Amino acid sequence: MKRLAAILLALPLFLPLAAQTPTPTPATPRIRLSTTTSTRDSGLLDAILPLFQAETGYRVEVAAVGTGAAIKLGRDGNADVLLVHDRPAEDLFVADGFGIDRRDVFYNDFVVIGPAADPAGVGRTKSAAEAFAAIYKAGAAFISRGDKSGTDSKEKALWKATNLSPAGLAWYREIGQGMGPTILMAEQLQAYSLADIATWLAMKDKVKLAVLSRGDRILFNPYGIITVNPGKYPATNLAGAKAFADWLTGPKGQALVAAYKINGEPGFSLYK
Amino acid sequence: MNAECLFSVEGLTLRYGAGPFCRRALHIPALSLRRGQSLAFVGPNGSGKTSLLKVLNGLIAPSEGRALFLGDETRSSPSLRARSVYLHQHPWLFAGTVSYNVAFGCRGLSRSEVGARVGESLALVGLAGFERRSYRALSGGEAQRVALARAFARGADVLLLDEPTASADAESTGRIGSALAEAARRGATIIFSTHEEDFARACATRLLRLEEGLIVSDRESGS
Amino acid sequence: MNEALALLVSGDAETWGTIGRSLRFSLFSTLFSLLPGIALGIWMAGRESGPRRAAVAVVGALTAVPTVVVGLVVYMLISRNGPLGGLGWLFAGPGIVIGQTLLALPIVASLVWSGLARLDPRFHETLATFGVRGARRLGAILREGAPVMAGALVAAFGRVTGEVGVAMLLGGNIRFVTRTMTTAIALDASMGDFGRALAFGLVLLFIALVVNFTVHIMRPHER
Repeated sequence: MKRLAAILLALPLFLPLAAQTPTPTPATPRIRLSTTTSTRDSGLLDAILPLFQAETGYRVEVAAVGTGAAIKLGRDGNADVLLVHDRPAEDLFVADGFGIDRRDVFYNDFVVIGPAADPAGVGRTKSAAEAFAAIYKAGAAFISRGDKSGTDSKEKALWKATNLSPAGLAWYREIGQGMGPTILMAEQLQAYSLADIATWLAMKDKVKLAVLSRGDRILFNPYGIITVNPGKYPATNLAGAKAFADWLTGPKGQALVAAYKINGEPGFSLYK
Repeated sequence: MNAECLFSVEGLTLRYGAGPFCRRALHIPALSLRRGQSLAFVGPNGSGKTSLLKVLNGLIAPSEGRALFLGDETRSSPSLRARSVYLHQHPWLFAGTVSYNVAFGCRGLSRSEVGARVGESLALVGLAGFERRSYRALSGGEAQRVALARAFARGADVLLLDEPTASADAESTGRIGSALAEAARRGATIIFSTHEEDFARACATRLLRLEEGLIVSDRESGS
Repeated sequence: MNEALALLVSGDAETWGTIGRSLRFSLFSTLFSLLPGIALGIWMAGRESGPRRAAVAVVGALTAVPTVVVGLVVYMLISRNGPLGGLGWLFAGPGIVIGQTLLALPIVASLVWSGLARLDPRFHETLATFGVRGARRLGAILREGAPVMAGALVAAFGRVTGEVGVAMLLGGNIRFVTRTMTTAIALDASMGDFGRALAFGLVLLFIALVVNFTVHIMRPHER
């Protein structure tokens, strides 16, 4: 009896040892990830990075700035891996030799938001370019990020597609700020704007605005992940960058991205 | 025959500070000052001359006892304000011209009347023509004389002066003396403190000597 | 550095437009804070009392409030779902001016109070012995305290010109409309456009130097 009791009492001491899988400790645990404010504001990284870190033992430091600045961080060697959404700029980055191994990772889209009353009649247009032209024609208030971000580049590309130039006109307000403040100002002034779907979903319950144009191919917003070239910057954590890119494009990472919802709707879509 | 009694002091004690730092500055059981007198307080520094002037002028309230002007407490007497002027030891002038300062006390007069009054007062102190000078461009003695002119322009008949010759050179001292004499001739009551015994004897008909807040002698000279 | 100087010297329209806009906002804010600030400062410098002591403490604390906090409070008042939302002042000039006026007010009041409190006690004594009260006394204080008040206004102007919290939160940094020198620097620096940021920086530095120099020479003279 006494021996049985002793064994039973001693058992719990062995359980923790059996349950524990040791966390790997990589040689260089710090990965510097440069990404955009929209990506950060979507909350995706907050949701999936802890899982990546727990699984691999890496520690990801996120620098979230405008797309232009995010790519510049890569050009200056201040990041190991980039997660951005501006294909032309990404291609240039690789062509100039600063990046290797660019991969598609997921995508979402942009939407044209505006006042529910829709004075410019954007809801009746059939394409994004038509929507922008309608806004120009009506001289309706429009908030532009004006900060050289990915969203800003897309907006500028859309104006180019309409052959119209709103710069300097009174109804076109460039504010030089991130997506969140842009949406808030659009609400305050009951103005139109171009928003990325992730930030919009996160904020739509807080503001009195509506999605008025969506689905046009040109509003497609593909994300790419690029490893910084260790040939240019030897201090780059190549192993860490590769580990992260592999994980994010691999089954585990992709499943988590697909499952990530913002206010009940999926924030991102996968390439099939 | 007694001239009108202007100031009277009853059981006056004045203390500064509190607790262990309490200092008795004045203790005067009785004192009365009549109209038309020229009275000088003399004594060493710290003897209470300035304090007594400030109590008589209503700038400080006594700790015990009373100081009265024509029966009202000096602290709140409207007639004292209307009839008296006080000159600080280091004269205080307002930011402006000499003319602005001298005219400061004039009330209810037309522009030309004020101009005449200013000119007269400045002449009395020997500063004729100084109207346009800035308050900053005066020597110590000249500033004191402007303050005195300001008192005359007001038409005050009670003058309280704290060390009127303190900032003055020999010429200013002489001018101030003769201005005070002229004022006395016109019936003003002059009360001043000084540590210059010669000036006191020359300008005053009654000398009060103070030591450590007490009156040790009170002499009236003839004339 | 070269780009900065080129932008300024060439008279680049957008750069100088931003500079002019910033100065307009600051000027209006300082002007609106003038009357209430000076009035409050004069009242605080009066005879000590419970309410006055409390006011001095509160106003002093308000001069140290972070600009973003002031911006936040005003934001909540003038945003669409706030009590004053219907006026459309948020993300427009009036919003910035309101916020900056609230920044300037405690500074003006506090500097006026401390300047007046440092006025020579002889000034107050002279006014008292001349029986000057009420509106006349206020006039004398304004005249004597004019250099102090001018210095306070200039200091407040310098403060609101260099702040970014209110301008960003309440103005929204809208190009050609509410972009100020400070919000422009924040934007340009975050995008790596250091040339233009430096241009604004130089102007702000120049303004700061002029302000400090002016405040210094306006300090009242010793007497």
